[in-house]
Amino acid sequence: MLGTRERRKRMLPGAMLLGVALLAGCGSESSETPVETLPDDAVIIMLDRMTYDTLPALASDSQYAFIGTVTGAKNSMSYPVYDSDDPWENPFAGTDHEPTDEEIQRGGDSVIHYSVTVSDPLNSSRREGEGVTITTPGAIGGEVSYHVVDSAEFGVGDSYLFFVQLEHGDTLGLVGVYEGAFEQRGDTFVNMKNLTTTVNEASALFDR
Amino acid sequence: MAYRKPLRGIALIGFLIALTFGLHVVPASAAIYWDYGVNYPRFTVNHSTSLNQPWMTAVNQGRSSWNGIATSPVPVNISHAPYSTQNHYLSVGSFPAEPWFGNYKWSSVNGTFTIRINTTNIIAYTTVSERPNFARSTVSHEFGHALSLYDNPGGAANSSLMNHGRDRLTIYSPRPIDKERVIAWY
Repeated sequence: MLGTRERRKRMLPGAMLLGVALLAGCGSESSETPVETLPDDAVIIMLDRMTYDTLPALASDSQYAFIGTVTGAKNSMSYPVYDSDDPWENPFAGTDHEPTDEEIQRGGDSVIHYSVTVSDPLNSSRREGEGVTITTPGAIGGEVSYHVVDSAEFGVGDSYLFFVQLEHGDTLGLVGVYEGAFEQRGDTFVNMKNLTTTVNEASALFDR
Repeated sequence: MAYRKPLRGIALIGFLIALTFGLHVVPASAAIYWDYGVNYPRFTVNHSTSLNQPWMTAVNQGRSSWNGIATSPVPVNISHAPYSTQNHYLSVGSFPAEPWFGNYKWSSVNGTFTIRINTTNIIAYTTVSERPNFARSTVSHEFGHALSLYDNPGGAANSSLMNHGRDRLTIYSPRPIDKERVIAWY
């Protein structure tokens, strides 16, 4: 039997080599991969979207901003719509083709609808106590686990400052997918990009 | 056998090192590649062949802009075919409540990807004359994910097609750095 000290001596060279290899790998471009190992029954999604590095830029693309508390979350399917006559909005406009069920079904994917109660509307478009729905890509629970890179997920019962746009019925989307969601930390709000703001500062960007 | 114990120890220490240096969330700006592209840069994507002229052009240009990149042993070749339930898929449509231009999904269940292009959001951010290049940029970007490229390689200051902050009106096909990275990966 080897003593503990002897085992450590034997382990050291190999461990050092492994460490050096890992460190060297971290520095080379070809191994700069994000560590997002998925289980076998998972999907991962990346979104090409607008980005927002400043609060004024975020506000300028927002139709509404408010502080709200998440009261529930549920999954739904989002399918492509083909009802416009505009050839850029409807890729089948100007053709004789009617989208098939297969085309609609295969274009669909899961979204999460968060139910949110507005507690402080920062602009006049929403009322205190009003219920709204904010939609984000992805799914919670279910048989297949969804991983959406850089997407915000919200806890039921938690409050956030939201910058939203693209109203469709009662549904709102976050501006910038995740940049439009700010977590409350004391008197300030912080988003995933480490932009910080206060209620007064954010309100000043809108007509109250 | 005595030598197995040191091996276990090495494995343990290696695991701890990996925990320290590997198993953290890498910021998107630091990553060049990801593991959810195709294994082989010659593949077929299914999409409707009934797309109208503006979108058929954008999809064909976005796809073919990668073709011919000198990967080994075969160059990149992305072909297209009508619908099949077995292969990679591209959908163009209006997703009015979703704030993205393009969306790439990799399924570990069947090892295939689905690309979705959101016409509503592209229209919202463009004039009519800007749409051809903007749409092409979106399609090309999503095929970059299929070729294992990650978003925002090297930070926001570079001009990669894979950068979210790119000028979509002028960067609508892979830049030399994007091509070099695909060659390095495959």
